[in-house]
Amino acid sequence: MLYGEARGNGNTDERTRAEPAPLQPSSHSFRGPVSPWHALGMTKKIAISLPDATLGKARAAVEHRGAASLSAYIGRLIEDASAAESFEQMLAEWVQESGATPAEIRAAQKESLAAFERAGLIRHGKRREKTTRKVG
Amino acid sequence: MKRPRAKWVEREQRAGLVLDAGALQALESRPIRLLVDLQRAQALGLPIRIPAGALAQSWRGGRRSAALARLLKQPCSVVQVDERSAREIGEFIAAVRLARGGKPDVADAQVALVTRSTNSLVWTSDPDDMASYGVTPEFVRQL
Repeated sequence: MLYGEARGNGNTDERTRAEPAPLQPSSHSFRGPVSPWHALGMTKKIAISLPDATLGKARAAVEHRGAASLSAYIGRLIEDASAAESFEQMLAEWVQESGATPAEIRAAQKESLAAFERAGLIRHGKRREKTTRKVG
Repeated sequence: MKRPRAKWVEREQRAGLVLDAGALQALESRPIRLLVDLQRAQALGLPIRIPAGALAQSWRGGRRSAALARLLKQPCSVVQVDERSAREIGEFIAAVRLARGGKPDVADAQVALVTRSTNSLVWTSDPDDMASYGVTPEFVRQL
């Protein structure tokens, strides 16, 4: 992140993020698996299995990147992945709302690819996109 | 002109997309070319940067800024202006030679400085403004 740069998500204050939500009765039944006072923002202990190499990378990341704990690090990765997912959904929705025809979308994609290559964001002839994405 | 290396972008200079005020305002009308670029940046994991000056110029609040409000909730970065970066923007303005009669605009200068410092692609409604701050055409996308 840039100096003076704040992440989006409408929440730039780490302290705000760390504060648990106020306790409130949940809609779950008292007999259900979740405590009626289990409020959003509280944590729950789970057991997960990771390959040794993956666990090693996670521990190294915690050590070198200053995450508070392994749980915090994995939690942040999950939050980031969810945010990216919803960004993709939002953009897909906006493309639909644009009313662009498939031909217009294809033309825009072609132009975009050329512009990214020209600016060096993608190496010419070697696209770094993880997947080929079809819009609309 | 020598590419400026702002001190406040030393930490991460990864190239990505930068949106100026015109681009942010245009989001309300869903311009397909800009949307496709945002999709591509998202798919490539490239940073999307919104300079604070551009945000101030385009933010109107309420329903008029609904699309922008949604974008700000996404993983994009608002490049803020603090004392240190304000000085750098001032020095940048002093270093560029604006066209005859051109008055320096702090918001445009911040957009251009972020674009140049990170080798990013900038979406703008006014490519002439970007050109006057030394952003070369291959880094400019016009609405």
